[in-house]
Amino acid sequence: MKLTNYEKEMLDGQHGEVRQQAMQALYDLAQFYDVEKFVEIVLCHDDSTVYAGEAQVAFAEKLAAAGAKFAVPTTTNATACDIAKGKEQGHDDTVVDATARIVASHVKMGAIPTWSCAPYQAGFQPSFGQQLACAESNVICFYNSIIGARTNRYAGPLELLCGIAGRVPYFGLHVPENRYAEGLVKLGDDIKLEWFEDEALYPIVSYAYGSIVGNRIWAIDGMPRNITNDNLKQFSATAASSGGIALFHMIGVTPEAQTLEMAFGGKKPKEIVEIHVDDLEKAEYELSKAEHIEEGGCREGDPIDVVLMGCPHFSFNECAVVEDLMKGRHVSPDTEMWLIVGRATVDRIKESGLYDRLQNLGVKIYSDGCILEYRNDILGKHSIMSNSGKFDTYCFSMRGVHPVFGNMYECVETAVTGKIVKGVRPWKK
Amino acid sequence: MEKVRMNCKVAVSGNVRAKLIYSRDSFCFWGGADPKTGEIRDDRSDCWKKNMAGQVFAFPFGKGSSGAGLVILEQVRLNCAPAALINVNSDPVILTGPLIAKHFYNKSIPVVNLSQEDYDKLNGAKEVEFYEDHDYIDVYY
Repeated sequence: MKLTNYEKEMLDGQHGEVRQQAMQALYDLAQFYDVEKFVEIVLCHDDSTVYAGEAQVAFAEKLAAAGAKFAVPTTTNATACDIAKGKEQGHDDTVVDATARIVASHVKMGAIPTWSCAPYQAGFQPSFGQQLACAESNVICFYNSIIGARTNRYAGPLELLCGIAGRVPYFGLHVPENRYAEGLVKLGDDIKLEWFEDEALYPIVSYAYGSIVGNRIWAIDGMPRNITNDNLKQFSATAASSGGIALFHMIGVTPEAQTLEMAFGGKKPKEIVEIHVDDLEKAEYELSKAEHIEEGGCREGDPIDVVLMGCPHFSFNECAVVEDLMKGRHVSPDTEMWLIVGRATVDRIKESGLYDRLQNLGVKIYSDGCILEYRNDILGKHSIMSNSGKFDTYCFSMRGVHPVFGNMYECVETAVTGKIVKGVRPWKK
Repeated sequence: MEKVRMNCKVAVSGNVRAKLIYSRDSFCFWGGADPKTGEIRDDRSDCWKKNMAGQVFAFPFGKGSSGAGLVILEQVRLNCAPAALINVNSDPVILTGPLIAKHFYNKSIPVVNLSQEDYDKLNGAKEVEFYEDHDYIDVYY
């Protein structure tokens, strides 16, 4: 392996024991994958923040106690619960206490305390072509695909070692030649562009895309050319959940795929799959399983216990859209609506008055936490609705309840009336 | 016991000899292994209900969530980690736990890769021995 002098010094222990250990682990990884060199990174996203057992907490504390410092700007992912209001959210002492220890140790290592799965909404966004080390599936997919920055899928707590060493083995998606699409998903002629005015189409199409593509690098053609960041976020997060997508190319939209030729590096797609209305129906069926099961199911007109939005964390704009859709009406006393945002967004919505206005309408706003850690068991909530393709994909495996999927309009109408409201999808009109 | 030597690619090195649990299914530690006991709790695995604690666990590939590293570290902490892993292909998600165990906790969980052909032959073996300094393992039938 070709090493710089600084890398040799780190491996020799001249820059402290922790940097040495981190480099040795990354060196072993590089050797195993026959990687020739390391590449410096400019940003790390630390996903070792949602409480997942004592070993995780103890490892971060061990690093912090040994004087570990991140060598590059490192943003922190969502925690298990709102750092200040975990008990109010129904979390037990184990989670609340562990979260406090996670916060303390990661801050001690110099992390930027964003506590958000949408750090790109908190002002920390890399530039095209920059090298990163990210964990958390939607952040990986967003930075790779929508920004064109470069990261592999790093698994917690490996990204901590990358952040501490300030470099990663130069392989996989760090290498431009490995980033071209192999196959193409095309929207069939039966799917009309104007249908995307219903924002539910983004998670629905994305779910279908992820199911077809799995963990490969493919492209999608036929999408609208002018898509908001919020809809790209939903597309990216859902694709990373229904498949293992680390990088997708959207022709005419994402930076490495302004043309088909760019996305495929001048080659022809090895495989082309068309998706049609029946694929969209199948995707919505999977996302909204509660509507299709007998026992424990619920459908249009039935009461709903809670509407959860903010997976990934809601943006300022999404909070504003919710206020518009509320039209001054209060959340029904028979249900609840939670919005989860990053703390940077909390500051902005407080400054604009949106926070108070939404709260006055009965909307519960929390920050930091991951809504997939929602304690429906402790809170006694048996039916859940969400606009998030990612949340709805994981809801059953993580929360033991099948969800109802709806767009933001349907979610707000449901929260206001206390009964499930579902609109008619464009292909049924 | 009959001994067969197999060449391997070493991902994480170490010395150990232990009994083998052999699976033909790809495996996800997150949800698939009980971090408190080492029991395999994924009912889609052909090793469902077997316990990997202190055993050599062979499965062809990792799959699913990136939480594997944290599960293996929790198993190390609670002394129910596998003694070693054998794959056809190890991805970085699978290697995270063993690499951190080696470099930060001085706990050895060797990981090696076999060719698909040798991996198929491993089925039915009773024990496997790993060596710190060699690119082979000894398989005991």
